[in-house]
Amino acid sequence: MPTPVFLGEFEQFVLLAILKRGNEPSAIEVREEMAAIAGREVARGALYRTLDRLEGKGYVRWRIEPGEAARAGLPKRRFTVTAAGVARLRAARSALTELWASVDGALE
Amino acid sequence: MTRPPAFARRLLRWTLPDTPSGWSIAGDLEEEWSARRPGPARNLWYLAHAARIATRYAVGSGLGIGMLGRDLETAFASWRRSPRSVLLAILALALGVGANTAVFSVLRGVVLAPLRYERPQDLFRLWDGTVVSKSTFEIALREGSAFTGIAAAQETRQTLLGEGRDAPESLLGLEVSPGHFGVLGVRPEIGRDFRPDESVPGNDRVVILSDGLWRRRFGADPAVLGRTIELGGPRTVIGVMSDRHDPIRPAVGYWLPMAIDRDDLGDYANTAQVTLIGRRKPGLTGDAAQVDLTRIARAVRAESNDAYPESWVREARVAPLLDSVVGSIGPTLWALQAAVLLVLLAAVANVATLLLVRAAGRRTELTIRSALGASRRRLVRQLVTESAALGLLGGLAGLGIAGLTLGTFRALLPAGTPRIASIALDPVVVGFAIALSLVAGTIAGMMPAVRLARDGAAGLVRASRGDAARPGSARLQLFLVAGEIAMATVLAVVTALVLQSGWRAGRAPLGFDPESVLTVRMRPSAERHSSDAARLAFYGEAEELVRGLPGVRSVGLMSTLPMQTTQPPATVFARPDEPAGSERRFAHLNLVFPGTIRALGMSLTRGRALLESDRDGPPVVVVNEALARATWGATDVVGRSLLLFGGDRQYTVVGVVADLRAISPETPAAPAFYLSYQQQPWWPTLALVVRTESDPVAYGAPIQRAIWSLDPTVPLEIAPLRSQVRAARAEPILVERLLLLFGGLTLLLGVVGVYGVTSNAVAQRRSELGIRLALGARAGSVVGRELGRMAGAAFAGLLGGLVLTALARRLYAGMLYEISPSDPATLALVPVGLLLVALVAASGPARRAGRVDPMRVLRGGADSTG
Repeated sequence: MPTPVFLGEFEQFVLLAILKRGNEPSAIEVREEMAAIAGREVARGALYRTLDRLEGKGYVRWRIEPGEAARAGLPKRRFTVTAAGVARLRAARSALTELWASVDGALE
Repeated sequence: MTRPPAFARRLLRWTLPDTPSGWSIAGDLEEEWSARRPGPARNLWYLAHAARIATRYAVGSGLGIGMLGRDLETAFASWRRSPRSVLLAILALALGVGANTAVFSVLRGVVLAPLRYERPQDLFRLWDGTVVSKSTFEIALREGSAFTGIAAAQETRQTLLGEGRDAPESLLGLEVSPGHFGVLGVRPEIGRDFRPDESVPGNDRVVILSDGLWRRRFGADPAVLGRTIELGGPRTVIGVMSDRHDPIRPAVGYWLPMAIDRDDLGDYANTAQVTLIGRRKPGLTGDAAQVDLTRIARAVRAESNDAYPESWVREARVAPLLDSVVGSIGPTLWALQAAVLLVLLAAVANVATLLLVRAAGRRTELTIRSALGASRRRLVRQLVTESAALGLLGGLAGLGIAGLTLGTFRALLPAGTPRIASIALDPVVVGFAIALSLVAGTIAGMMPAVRLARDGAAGLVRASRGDAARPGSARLQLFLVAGEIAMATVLAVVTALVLQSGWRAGRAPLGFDPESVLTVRMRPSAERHSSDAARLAFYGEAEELVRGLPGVRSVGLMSTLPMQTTQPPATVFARPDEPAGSERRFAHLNLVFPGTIRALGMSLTRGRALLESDRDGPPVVVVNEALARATWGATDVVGRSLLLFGGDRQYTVVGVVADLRAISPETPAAPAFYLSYQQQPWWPTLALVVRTESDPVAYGAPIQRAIWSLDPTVPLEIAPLRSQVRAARAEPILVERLLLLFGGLTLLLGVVGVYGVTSNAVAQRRSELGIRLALGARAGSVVGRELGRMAGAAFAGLLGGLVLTALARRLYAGMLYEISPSDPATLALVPVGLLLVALVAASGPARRAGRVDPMRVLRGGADSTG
């Protein structure tokens, strides 16, 4: 059995924001969505590094769109969560739910 | 269309990956910037966010702080697991870096730091290494074209009379020509500089005080300006010089205007006394200054009707003023810095061995991390970070050691060392220490890191174990030990040579007996003892009084005490039968009272000593053997005559004395002659030479009382002759002590290295040794094999060390007295001694190899060896 690779809290947060926004959001839109959910700004550097990492793990995929004038012609990435990403999110949710259920008594 | 600040965009371009995703990140920020309201605020916003993204990416790519922090955390965690070897490594580096930093702080303060004057690189000493006459100075002033200014200076010593409880004090100062401070580019801190008219005799009763003297004797009172003080007669204080400049001589307390008597000019070669400095015109090279000086020297020679030989013109040299101020201690400090660098190299080799062994011990950790996906590069960086951090810790501890020992170090320096005040742990020295420790740590960690990079974690194991199957790896640790032994060899050989040189210098035929002799320099003031006759009377009475003190065996008086001569011989003499225009001869001059030769314990080899009765007789002279040999080629010269001081009066030689070392125990005697002070009472100051029955120091107080009963304003400098002989060897003694210390440290590091490597080799190969013993190998042959390996490494190290010693010969050859830098006995015995030390250090662990219990090894398995 392969070593389970856990999803970090922030990684889950990013994946969920992409899914919630829908419609292949750009990084700027993902950030807006995260700010709306969390009620606070997210550091750009942290978001970009996390997106890189999620792509590396195969949970996120992006496609390139040519840049407009406002971007000085620099390309834009549009993100989607892959099937593997969705599966990982589900697994993380059920693991957490089980864990919560098992400790509910202790937390009463 | 406007764009965000260009350098912020460039910053992003450098740090983000050069891929579509990298470009898109820059594009996102650009887009957000475009959406903001134009103005400086959005540029600032862009700048701040570009910087944050850049930092994040730099950190992620391993350039930065986040990863470094993680590496350091890992390092600390692993150090906690084996604190002993880590502490040992830090200690070794701290000693190495500390010693280097201490020496470097002295080298920087004394030798390297620029002179604290305006454009110091343009300042030159003219006629480097010698003094010239005031007439020469006048001609140089007139003829010099490569210099914006030339100034003359001459040491002087005057008595500062006490006010209130202060005792009269004899102080060193400089007489300077009016342009002196202008040439240096400095001005008095308060008050004014000398005016040109103050160099006229009679107009020269003014003084500029040094900051130190002003604070010590006048309570830093600015009202001292305009006051008249008693410094060799009444003088008006016109200024105070800041201590933020380096005086051209150490320990100068004041400056006086140099009075130039027009009538004295025209006298050339016979009255050499002033030092010349010049400021080169901006934009000219050093060669231009030299060419100009040669031209000036030729003009002086022509104008003096060839009073100087042609060689004097050829030998006239300009030298940077810095070199002239630093003087002979410069090469000595460089040599010490080179020596102490060897200590650090030995420490680095030592730490490298430790780290190699440690890295091997961590093979499990490294293998697991590499299995978990850590790249080889990542692990290598981890090791390098660790060792650099180790170096830094060692360096900080070393800085602490340097800081604590700096005071002691300063006290070890010879009394006349220039610029002692500027020795400090300043930012340059601290930067040196930190750079040195980072480099040392990184180099020490390089070996295991290179192994890891090349062969992976398995390579480390082989390197540390000295695996017989891989001789290349087996040699690595032995190579390091050989390096340590090489460093120890260099230092041991040089230390042995220097100590022997010192031992010989201590037994050098001084030409006098310094035991149980007290010397008392007296400087009666010119006011109270204005005539030659008055001075002669004063000295005569002083001698009489001291001779009468209980416990005094004999008393003499002389103008220049042994070991107090600072200059090469400068008094002109000639044989009466020599044709005019012959090469000039120079000798040391000494004016003495009759009892001096006996009181000093000099030996009279021919003729007689000077007598009281010579006072009113014809002019007589006693010469030393060096003078007799140089002049007549023989020592049997009683009855011959000499012309002195360039005059035509004939002095008859009445006696010949054995050579006396006047400058230092190592400096062979130069020609010297002794005149009767009673015949020539013009010298202003004499010193008593008092031979006593017991410890001479105890006679200081009664002698002082006796002299002050004649005149309480006479400053006295009382010192045992023995301590002056020691002081004359201050520089060699400094070298001896430091080399002993450095040599000892290196030897210690070498011993620890040999011991460590041998025990490690035995421990790693315990199972192999156990099996060989079980198969019938004799314990003796196993031990012998281990010792043999170490002996091989030691031998290679010794050879390397001897080669290095030969290469470094130039650095230390000049320090040696009566011993050759390639003294065969030293070159043979020291390596043999070191080889024995190495074998003794290795023998403990090697014997353990022979005592390995085969049964336990076979039962416990190879891994019980740890």
